[in-house]
Amino acid sequence: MKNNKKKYALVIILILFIAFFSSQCMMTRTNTESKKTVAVILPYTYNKENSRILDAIRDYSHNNSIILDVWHEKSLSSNELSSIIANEEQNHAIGILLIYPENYLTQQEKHYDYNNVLAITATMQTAFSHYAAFENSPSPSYLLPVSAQVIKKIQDGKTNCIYIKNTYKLGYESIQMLDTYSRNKYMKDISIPCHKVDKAAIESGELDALLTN
Amino acid sequence: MNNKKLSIRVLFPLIMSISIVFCILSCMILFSHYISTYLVRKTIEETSRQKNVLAQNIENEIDSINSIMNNIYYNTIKKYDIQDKNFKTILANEITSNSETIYGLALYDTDGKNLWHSNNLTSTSMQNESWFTQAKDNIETICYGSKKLVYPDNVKQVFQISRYVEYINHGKMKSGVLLMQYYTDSIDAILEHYKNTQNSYCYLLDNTSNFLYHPFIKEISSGLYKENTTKIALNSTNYSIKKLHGTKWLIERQQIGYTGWNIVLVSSLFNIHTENMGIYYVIWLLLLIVGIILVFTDILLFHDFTNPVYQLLDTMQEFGKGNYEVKAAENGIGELKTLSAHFNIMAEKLQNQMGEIRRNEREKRKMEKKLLQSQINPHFLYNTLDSIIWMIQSGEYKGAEQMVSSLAKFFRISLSQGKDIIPLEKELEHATSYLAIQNIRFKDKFEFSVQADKKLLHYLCPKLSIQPLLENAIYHGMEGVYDDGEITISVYEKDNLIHIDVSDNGLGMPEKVVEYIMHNRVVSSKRGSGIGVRNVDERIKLIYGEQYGVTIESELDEGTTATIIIPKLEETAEINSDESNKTKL
Amino acid sequence: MKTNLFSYNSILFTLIIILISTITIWKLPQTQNGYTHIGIAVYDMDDTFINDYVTKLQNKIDRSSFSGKKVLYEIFDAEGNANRQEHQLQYMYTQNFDALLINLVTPSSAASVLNETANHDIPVILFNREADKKDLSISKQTWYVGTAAKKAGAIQADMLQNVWNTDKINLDRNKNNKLDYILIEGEQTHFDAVRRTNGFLENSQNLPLNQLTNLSADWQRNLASVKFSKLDTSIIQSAEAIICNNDDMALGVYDYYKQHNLKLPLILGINNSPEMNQKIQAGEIYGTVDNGTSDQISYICKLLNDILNKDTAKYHKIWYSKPFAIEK
Repeated sequence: MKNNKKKYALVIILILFIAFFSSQCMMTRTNTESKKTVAVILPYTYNKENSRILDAIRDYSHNNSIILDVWHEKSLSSNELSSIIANEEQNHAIGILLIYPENYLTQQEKHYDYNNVLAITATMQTAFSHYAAFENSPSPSYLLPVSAQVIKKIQDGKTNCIYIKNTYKLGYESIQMLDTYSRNKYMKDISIPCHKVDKAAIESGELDALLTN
Repeated sequence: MNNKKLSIRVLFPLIMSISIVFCILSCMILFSHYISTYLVRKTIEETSRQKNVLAQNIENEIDSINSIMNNIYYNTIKKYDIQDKNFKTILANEITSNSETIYGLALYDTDGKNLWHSNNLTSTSMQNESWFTQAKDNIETICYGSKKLVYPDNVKQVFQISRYVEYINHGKMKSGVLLMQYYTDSIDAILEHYKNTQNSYCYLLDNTSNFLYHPFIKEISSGLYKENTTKIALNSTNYSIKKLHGTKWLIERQQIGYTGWNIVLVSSLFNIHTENMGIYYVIWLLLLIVGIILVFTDILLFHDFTNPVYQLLDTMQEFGKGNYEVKAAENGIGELKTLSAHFNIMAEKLQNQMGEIRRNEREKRKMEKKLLQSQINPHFLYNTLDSIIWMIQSGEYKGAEQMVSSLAKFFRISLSQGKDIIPLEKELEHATSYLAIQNIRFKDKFEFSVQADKKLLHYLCPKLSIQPLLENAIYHGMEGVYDDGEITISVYEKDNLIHIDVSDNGLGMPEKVVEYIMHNRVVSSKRGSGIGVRNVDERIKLIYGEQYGVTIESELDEGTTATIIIPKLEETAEINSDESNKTKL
Repeated sequence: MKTNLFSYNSILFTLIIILISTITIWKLPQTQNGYTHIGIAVYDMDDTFINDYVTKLQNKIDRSSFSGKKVLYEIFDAEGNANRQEHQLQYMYTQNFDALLINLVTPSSAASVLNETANHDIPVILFNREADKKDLSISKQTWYVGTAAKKAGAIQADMLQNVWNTDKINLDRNKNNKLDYILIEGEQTHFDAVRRTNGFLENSQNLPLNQLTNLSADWQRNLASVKFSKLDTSIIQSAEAIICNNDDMALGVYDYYKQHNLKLPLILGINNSPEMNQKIQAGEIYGTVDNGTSDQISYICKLLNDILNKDTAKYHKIWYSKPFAIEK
């Protein structure tokens, strides 16, 4: 009988240990959220035109627990690009975003055939499997952020209307596409129409948020 | 065996376990429910507190804006004539010293015509602007209008704040409207510090439900996000919990004093769930373990308790199979132990009783065997056959013939086809046959007579009852007698019982001899049946009961009378069939 | 009995397996990012000094090796807007940066930022826009790297003294034996503005200075030009020297003079921006003070490396680079 009791006691002690360790495990696991990684390759010098794109990417990443690996490159050959992509894939990146690669890719005639790469580009749409770009627009077209002088000119009537390219939307949809790609393995090209801005549009106040700096 | 399914060993722990499981489950459910309501309540409290702080901060900012406005009004506009040079310089200074926060100031008369404006503003008439009409209609308060886009060197936004003023123009006091365009930065800073995330954010609505501040305003303008909580917020008083896109959201609203703006805080309750998953897991695990341990313990304990019962059960089964030597192990708790002990006592008693019954049976068998045996006593047969041969050889054919027929009758009735109880008539015949044989053999040593009540002859009587008494009478009673011996058999009814007397007029027996004969297996002579008087007595007692039997009365020199007392028993089919079954053994 | 033993043993076995797997899962480290992340928050990339600073910083980071791991940095431009920087900082706190380099828009509200970084346990190097010492002491993992602003101002005074001593004739245009100058100050509450001015004034006790006027142009070239143009023309014309707290504002004043085709006075700035340097070499602007930005950047990279190696005990909280004069 005593032997029996010992056996039962052993089982119960084991169960208690399991309970203790598993609850510790649960506590630590739930406190740290798992984050995804996205690689972003930017031109080397800071350009204000990319600022709204980066704003959108950061806003989306903040809300969707994504960590960005940001690379600043002066010039990349096709081999160097593939080595960066390979490194990032080893780092568990769910996708790679190239921002205006025409500024740093040396071999622009080549076709870059990567499934997990999305290029935000103005001139290299055909070089990549997936791209994000603005539709062609009549001039005068401006990228966000638009300077105060331009708006003043519209307000004063010196310019009739302008077309703005919503770089915020471009950046946001690009990283959103990479995020959904990581889930569905499906990526398609993004083409964003330009927004016509005239005096009435400014006065309506709809675009205030985009125009403010 | 066929009740195995309803075995108490399985049923009882099963019921206990089911009830434990039920209790634990209900505990789990209650706990989860309580904790989730508690957490939700805590979140509501927390959000309320933050809401109050935010509202307070915004109200403080509004206060300071109001004081700037009032300062400008009371210290400049009310004091100086607008034509006065001081008017313009002081106001210009005011603007330059506050250039970080004030974009522009302008003064209008009641028709909307511009009287003075700071550098950034223009002199267009503002008659139709809402802030203008509002200020005109509410002369006591400062009106907070909608936002406007301005673009000095950066594109920024300002609040249009207006109030009714009285200004002096050429010495005359006139009514007008003062407009201040105040940068939204300070209010934005307060709301920016809330640390807005997708699951917990706040936004500010003006009194026409337009967004004054929204953390995702850029996404909203780009068509990437839609704010669904505005209507719900405005309809609820303090807070409301609504299910949007599949998860529950907490929406709290507070109205900002003085301006009629509304601050709305939105929190996702789903996050609380996942963040606190650890607590849920620990509690469920704890309850689960408690449940398992309880179930384990109750099964164990129950087995411990019922083991002795099952051992007892096994013992009883063995006992029932016929293994009467088994004893139950006396272990167990409390009453279970006494159960085993009492069972053992009962088993012993049963054993003893069975032993006794076996003994009695053996005795009976013995006696019946003897009876059987005696039914054919060889000595009597030899002697009588000898006598017959002698008589035939002597030419006493009549005597031999009588002896042979008497012997035949004697043995026929002795056997009586195996019956042990025969009618009294037959028993008397048997007795008389015996007497006749003995009479011839003893050469008329004695005389005998039979006096029987005819009414009693059909009653039953154990066979070979009278003959042993006759044996006694002949061999002991007739000892000292030569030719006037008398043996009388009388059968009469007394006290509703049948009495059979065998009397002789011999020497009689002293008391001691009577005792001796009654209590010992005295066989008078081997020449007789070999059954003693005691045997007859015992048989009668065995068959009829203790109150019947044989009694002997004797008087020395007078004679001896042996009396058989039996009840009146009539012949029925059953009695003899039982009897015949017995003797068949 | 045999079956009982078997089932007991198997239960024991499964329980031990579960226990071991639970412990391994608990101890298992989650997948870590293989790169070092650094955030660089800048108050306004339109400020040429800062723009230059950041470019130099980028170059230096790319050339340095930080204990074998590749360093990826992100640049955040607040465009002079405190709310924008606050938004960016909130993003930075949650992004698992290994260190932050922050150039605050409003150094006076450094405390809330430093409290947050202390809560998230992120090491911070503040640069160029100095916060109060008390605020810096909030967390052990906070340092400030900047310029000895007072020394820069003093060097300006030295340069002026030099010219006064050697070329008084040309300098004193109106021949009143006084050096008439206009002071153009940077952002009003900025530590560097206060110190540079203070350094200049204290070190120029020997000069017969006469301050015609002063104005604050927020370090901005445009604003300096605009505000300067609003000055009284008589003042402008009698100005013999323009002492500016930084190069951008000096260039703004230079712009004004060029626009109006006026004779350039002696202009002094601080920063040694490329354009300023070019104009100094061309002889149009007299001189500037180099703040030792290269030294600052080397120091920042060294500090960063030691932060990543968790070896920061020997560093002082505040470090200034040594300024030196730049003349033709």
